[in-house]
Amino acid sequence: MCLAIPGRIIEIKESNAIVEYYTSERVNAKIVEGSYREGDYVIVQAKLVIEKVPKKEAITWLNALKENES
Amino acid sequence: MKVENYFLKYAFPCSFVLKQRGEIDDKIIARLERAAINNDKVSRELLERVYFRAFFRIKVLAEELEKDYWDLEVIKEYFLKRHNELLDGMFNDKDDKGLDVDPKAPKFLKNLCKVFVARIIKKGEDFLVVEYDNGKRRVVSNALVLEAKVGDNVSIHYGYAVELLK
Repeated sequence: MCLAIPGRIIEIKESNAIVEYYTSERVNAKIVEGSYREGDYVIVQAKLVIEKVPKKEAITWLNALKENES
Repeated sequence: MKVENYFLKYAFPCSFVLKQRGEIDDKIIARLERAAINNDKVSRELLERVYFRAFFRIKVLAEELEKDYWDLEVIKEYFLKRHNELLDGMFNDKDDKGLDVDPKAPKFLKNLCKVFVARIIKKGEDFLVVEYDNGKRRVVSNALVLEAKVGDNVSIHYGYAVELLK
């Protein structure tokens, strides 16, 4: 079963977003549809920004993940 | 297409989560990605090892259907039906150890893991914009369905269009 991990957009240049994860890992992803801002939480796959995740849900979920790890 | 490749196309979109959990490494991801896109030969042993959670449930389903767990009909039914039922918590299996279906998981994220039927509304070089589930939109990779075009229906899983549907 897959449970997605959201990352936070820390920079947008034209249609390229830099997305950072709670592990500190960063990836580049292309924005091809919709509008995004720095600070948005998103799902990335295949170097594409797939969907935005509502901030509250993203943070709640990320906190639960970090808690599970400790 | 071989049943192993059919399984992998549906299962592969979740692989990056396994990597973020530290269960598999970049080398295995690359191998699975190549095999998914190119229909390379891939061993059942590898798939059962990496996707052990899926196979736990597929075996349960196979027993119900009285078929072998690598039967294509079982794999199809698993991804197109049972997988979503499990995510919705509809399926009440006493033996299901609840591996990984976290009841605290937000609804929005669960939606990414469900397999949906979607219609293609826009096509780019390496992506599709699809509409599914009453007006929701998602961007997905078209790497597994290069022949799909605007107006076609595809199944989607996470960030990939997986299968062109008639």
